[in-house]
Amino acid sequence: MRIIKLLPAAVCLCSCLAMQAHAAIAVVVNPDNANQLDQREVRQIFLGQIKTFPDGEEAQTLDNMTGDLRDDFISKVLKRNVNTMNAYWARMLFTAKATPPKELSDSEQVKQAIANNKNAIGYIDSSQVDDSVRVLMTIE
Amino acid sequence: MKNKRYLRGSLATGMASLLCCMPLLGHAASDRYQFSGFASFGIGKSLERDELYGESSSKVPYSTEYRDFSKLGLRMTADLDDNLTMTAQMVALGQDDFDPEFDWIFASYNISPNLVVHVGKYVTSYYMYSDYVDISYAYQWVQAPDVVYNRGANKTLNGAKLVWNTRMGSWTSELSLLTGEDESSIADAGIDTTLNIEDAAGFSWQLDRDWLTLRTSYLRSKTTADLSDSDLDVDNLLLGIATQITPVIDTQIDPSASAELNAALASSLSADFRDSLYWDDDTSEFFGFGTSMHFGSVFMTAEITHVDVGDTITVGTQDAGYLMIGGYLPGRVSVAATFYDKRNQTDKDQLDAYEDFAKAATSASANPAVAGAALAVYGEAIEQTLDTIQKQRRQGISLSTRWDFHSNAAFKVEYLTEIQKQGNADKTTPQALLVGIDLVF
Repeated sequence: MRIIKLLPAAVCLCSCLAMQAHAAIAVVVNPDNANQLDQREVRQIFLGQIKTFPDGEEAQTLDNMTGDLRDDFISKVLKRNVNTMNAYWARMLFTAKATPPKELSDSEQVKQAIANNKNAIGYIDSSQVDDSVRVLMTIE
Repeated sequence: MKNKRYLRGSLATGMASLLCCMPLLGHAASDRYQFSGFASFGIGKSLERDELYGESSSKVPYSTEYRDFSKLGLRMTADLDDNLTMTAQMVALGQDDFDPEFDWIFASYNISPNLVVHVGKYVTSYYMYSDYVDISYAYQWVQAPDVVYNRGANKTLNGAKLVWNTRMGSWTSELSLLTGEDESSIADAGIDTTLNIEDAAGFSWQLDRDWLTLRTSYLRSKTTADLSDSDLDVDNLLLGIATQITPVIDTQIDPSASAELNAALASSLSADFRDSLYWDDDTSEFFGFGTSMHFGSVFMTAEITHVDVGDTITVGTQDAGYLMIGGYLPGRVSVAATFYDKRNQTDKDQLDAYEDFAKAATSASANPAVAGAALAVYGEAIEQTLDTIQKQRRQGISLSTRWDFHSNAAFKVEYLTEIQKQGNADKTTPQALLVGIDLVF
């Protein structure tokens, strides 16, 4: 009987977890990368509109294919509709304007790639931030 | 043409050989080569029994057979070193029996990460959708409106393009400077010839900031088309005017006057005037301005263009060409509506020149008593002839829906209708239904 009473609360909690499976989005770079970027500059780099960091070094973007995290990054940081991103990259790629970010399966792989490349920029679940990366910004 | 076909075949063979060799190159080498592609499987059907939809290169017939909009595109990029890249992209259309044609073959050199020079053959980015018009997956339509994006002449340039990306405050800027030449076939409206483009030079400039994109483009070139085998040949045209006015003059003015006036017309035809009517080394100009806005699930794109092709008899002055598309993309299913309008007017300068010429011809007539009356007949015939050739208006509406049923594939249905008016003929209102599946890989 008690279990039945707790069921709605459990369902509600599960729904909330399903809606927000990650803490926050942390945009991260290599600790040796001293550039500071605002959200607009991050967007411009990830959309291939600008190829370099403010110091002139070429930026190498990394896509984190963790489902909810990627969807939130696209809608909150890139300000785009998730369903239009493939079409966007199709036209950028086939017109030689830019290539899409390199796809990595999860935050661990993104951290590893950034640790090995001074010019890489990516995004991870903020709960997985450690010393191997430097956080440029955190988006709730 | 034979050389071009040979070139196409050689390139296709070369690319196929390269594809076959790829597994032998090993992992390290394969990192330097990237392959991608797109495909569309589309059909269209006119909903009007007597009216074809579209221009001749993309007409949708009313019959048990459907128009084939299928196409396949393959792209290969080879990184020769960190700054030098070779790109080839071929497109094969179902309506051409999938005969491959290379639209992009160029070498790119990164002078810096934000400054790249491309040398070779590339698609000219006149309109906002021009340079990816073949990649149907990238836009909302089954087929981009052919009134604007007709996949025909003047699509590519052989030359160089310099692309400079930079920040301008909170905006990003992409400036492309382009130059080149091209030779392509025109097979439309009774014409079957080659259009030569030389000394082309221009730019496109795009500014982006958050939800807003602004774009402008300009291209100027010298164009030549041999129309001697068509109804638009200058001599055929003058003969047509004479044929048109002869019975009028014979019945309304003087039965003996027409032969005399036509002879006077022919003898007054100066070489300079005749030359001015040929499509020969004429200056062509294109100007376009467009904007695109994205607000979450809503987007809108609009552009206005102007085309002017020198003093040729074939093309009038395009006073207005604009296209507007708005869409709603709440999820995997999206809807969009498009409106476009393209209007070609009779070139007033040509009309005035013709009338001056007719005036000189009739004044030279040995029978001045009929000259005044004949001039009015000439004037009307000339204006009617120019209207028939040059005056055209196409206004269209398209309603389309897209379902992204897979991350790399979309299913589309599109209904479109147009009001078409050519010359002084009655307007027609064709309708068509298009269905397609687009993929990228």
